[in-house]
Amino acid sequence: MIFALTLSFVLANAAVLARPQTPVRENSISTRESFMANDARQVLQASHNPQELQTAALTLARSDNSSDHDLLRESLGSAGFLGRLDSPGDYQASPRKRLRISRVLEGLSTNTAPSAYRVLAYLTHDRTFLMEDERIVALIEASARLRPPPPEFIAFWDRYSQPDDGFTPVTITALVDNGTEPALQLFEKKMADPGHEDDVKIAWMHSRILPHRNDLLLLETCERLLKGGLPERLRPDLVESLCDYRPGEWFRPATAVNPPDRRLASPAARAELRKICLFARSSLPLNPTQKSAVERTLLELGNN
Amino acid sequence: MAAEEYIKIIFRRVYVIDDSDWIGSGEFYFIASVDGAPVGDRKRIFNAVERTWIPLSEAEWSAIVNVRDKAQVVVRFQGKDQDLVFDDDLGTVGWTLRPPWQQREFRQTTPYYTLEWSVQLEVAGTFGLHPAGEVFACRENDGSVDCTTVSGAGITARLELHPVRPVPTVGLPPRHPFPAGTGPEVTNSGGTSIAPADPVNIVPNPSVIPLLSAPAPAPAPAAGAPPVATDQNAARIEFTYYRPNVLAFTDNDARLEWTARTAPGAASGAASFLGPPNGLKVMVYGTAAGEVLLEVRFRGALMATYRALVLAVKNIPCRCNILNGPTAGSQPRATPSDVQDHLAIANRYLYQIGLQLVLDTNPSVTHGARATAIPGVFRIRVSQGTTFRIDSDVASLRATILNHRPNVMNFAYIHSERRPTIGGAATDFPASKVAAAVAGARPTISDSGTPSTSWTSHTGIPPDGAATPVTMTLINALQRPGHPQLFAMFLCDNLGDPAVLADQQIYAKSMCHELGHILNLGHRIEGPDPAGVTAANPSGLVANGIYWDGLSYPPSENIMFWQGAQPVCQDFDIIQARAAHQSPLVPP
Repeated sequence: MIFALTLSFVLANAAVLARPQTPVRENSISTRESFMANDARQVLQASHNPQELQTAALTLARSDNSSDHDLLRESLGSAGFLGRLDSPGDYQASPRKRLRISRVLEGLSTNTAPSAYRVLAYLTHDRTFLMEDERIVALIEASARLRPPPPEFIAFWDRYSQPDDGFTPVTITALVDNGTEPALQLFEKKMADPGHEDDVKIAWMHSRILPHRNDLLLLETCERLLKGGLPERLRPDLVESLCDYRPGEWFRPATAVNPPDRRLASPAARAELRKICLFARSSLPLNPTQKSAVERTLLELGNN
Repeated sequence: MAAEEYIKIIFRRVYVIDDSDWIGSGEFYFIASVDGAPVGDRKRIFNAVERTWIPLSEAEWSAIVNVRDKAQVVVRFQGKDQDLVFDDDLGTVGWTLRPPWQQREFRQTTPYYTLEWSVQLEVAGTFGLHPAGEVFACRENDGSVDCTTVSGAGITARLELHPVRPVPTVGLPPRHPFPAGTGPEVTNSGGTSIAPADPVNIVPNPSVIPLLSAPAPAPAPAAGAPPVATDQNAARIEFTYYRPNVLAFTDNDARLEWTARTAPGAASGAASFLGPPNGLKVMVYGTAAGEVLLEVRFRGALMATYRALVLAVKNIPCRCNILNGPTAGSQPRATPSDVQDHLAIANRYLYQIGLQLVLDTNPSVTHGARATAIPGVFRIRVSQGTTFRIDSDVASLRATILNHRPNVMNFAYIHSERRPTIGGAATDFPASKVAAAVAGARPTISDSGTPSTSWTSHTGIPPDGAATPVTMTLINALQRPGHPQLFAMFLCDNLGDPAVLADQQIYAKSMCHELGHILNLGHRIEGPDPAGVTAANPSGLVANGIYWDGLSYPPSENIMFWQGAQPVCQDFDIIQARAAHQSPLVPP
């Protein structure tokens, strides 16, 4: 795999690497890595070809070699590199066209090597990197795949989920998609935060919790919210997000979200949901529609 | 309404072989008949000199016969020589003409004379020698027309006026097989690339023909009457297909004759043609509201039909608010001028259902909005969270209520939605004036005309079966508490560069799609739920199908297609036009 990446990188950049190249021996991994790092360093430092920069950065991001990640980290903290990778015009067009930095961060986030995670963690407090809102968004989106999330991300997510900050919608999505205990604990905290409006929280329930309502950890989070963390007036809304599906009331035509197939929920998740339903039925002020949804869900769950 | 079909038999001249007299020249006279009726003057005596021609006057020695329903025409010509005692019979020639009628020359001989005579066919009101491939007559044949050329050859032809552009590639009504050797088809089936300065009527084959006043020499319209019809505002109706190409129809081809009448089953509706009602492309304007059927005939045979509503074009007032965040990175790129361009392109799409967005002239502002150089377009400074990566699932979305006016269409231009795939969304709209049959159910609207709306199967276009009535389901209101007259949506930079034409078309198409929802139109084809059919979502469709209009045609060529691409999704059909005009946003 490393060879394939290296070779493709070399081929992709053959035109710019005009200097004499270090001979590559096919079976020498260390030589190849050295070659790749050297060439990548040169591309990252000197190239003004955005596509070439992306290819080089992605190659490093997908590497399992920590020195490649160190090299990449240097660049990602450099205004010069970031400016060559994505132009001001690219940033302007970014709502429609994905930034190259976003692809690089995705490459890092799908790499399970600890050193790749360390690069992302480093970026959570790198002032140069965080100067552009779109890069922050890209980092939040990439972070949804980090399981378990590095501790730096808890603070990062918290920082970028403040009321009306423009990042919260993306961060909340990342937290719920991430689905790990630390992420969901922060989500729980946000659900309890009076700074976020009720309407906003209801939207989180309908569009973030709903597609994950088969997930055991999220259901456990919901149970805790229903038993204390969530303002009482919102608890029936959370119950209906777990038990009902009323897209005509919850979504706009352009933004509808579908629930997962409950049959695919694990036995533990089904048991947890059953527990929630029984609690809701006995302890929460549900309206007739919500009661009916709870009853239907209990029926659907059976005794499993 | 089948056309008459005339042939003309012309006895041209007689060559005298033998004058039949012992001394001097003969005294010939002729007894002729065509289809049993005498032709010429049998009392007229011609001096018959051997080896000379006796010319016959065409005016006197010809006959025109309507062969429309004839199986044969008998032609008979007898020569006689007048004598003192009894007249000599010079012999009889003749022919029984039968379909296919064809132009031809005859030369027939007896021992005494040779007769030259012709058969000519009338084409476009003219007898004469026509090009061999010229079509003389056509017969309707279950969706095609069987044509005969003046030389007697047969051509099977078909013409279509599909109401959807671009024309769908699947689900078209069946066509009878063409005979082997039939020439290829000619199509005009593409979509329209619209620029802001294009004529408002640029989209062809609309579902609504605008009600307009007759142009000069008609008297100038009274105050309040519809605008005068011009080539810039009348409906463009165009062919989408014909075969075979050898017919070589042209845009103004006189052989194709259009007429307009009230559609069968409709209480009213009338339309007139702007310019000649001929050819592959015509311009039409409405003269009485209702529903009309346009018919195209070729040599009298009905070849194609087109159905449309006739409605007055209604203006929907709108205001547009550009929401600028605190940083350069949180301000939408659209300028007031871009917004104006988007509205202009959108209006070209909307004109096909008789609607136009016009900027609100009311200058009142709220929420710190500032007027721009373009009245009706405003800018507002907002927080980052109001315009940048917004969560449009929030019910009382702040972005779309700022500086709004009730009963006016309110557009918010924001920087971005949290999902890059969402370029805009209708956020607030009341229910249609169409009442639901059952309380709580979604209202429906029906159309049972022929051809069917969007040519939904069965289309009523032969040889397809009779048009099946179509029933479309509307979507319910989507309203935040306390704002019963709010009509609002947002658009964002996720749609692309607001100043580049290709992206402007995407803005405009999204504007129309979301406005369609605001006019209570659902998705024409709904997306599938990735989870399939589940207990929570038994329809297996996105949102359990509650935003689906219940129809499955065309497959994607409709502005309300659930995930439309601008070059493909450009059409609103008749049933959507009916429904849209029932929105409380559309003035009565």
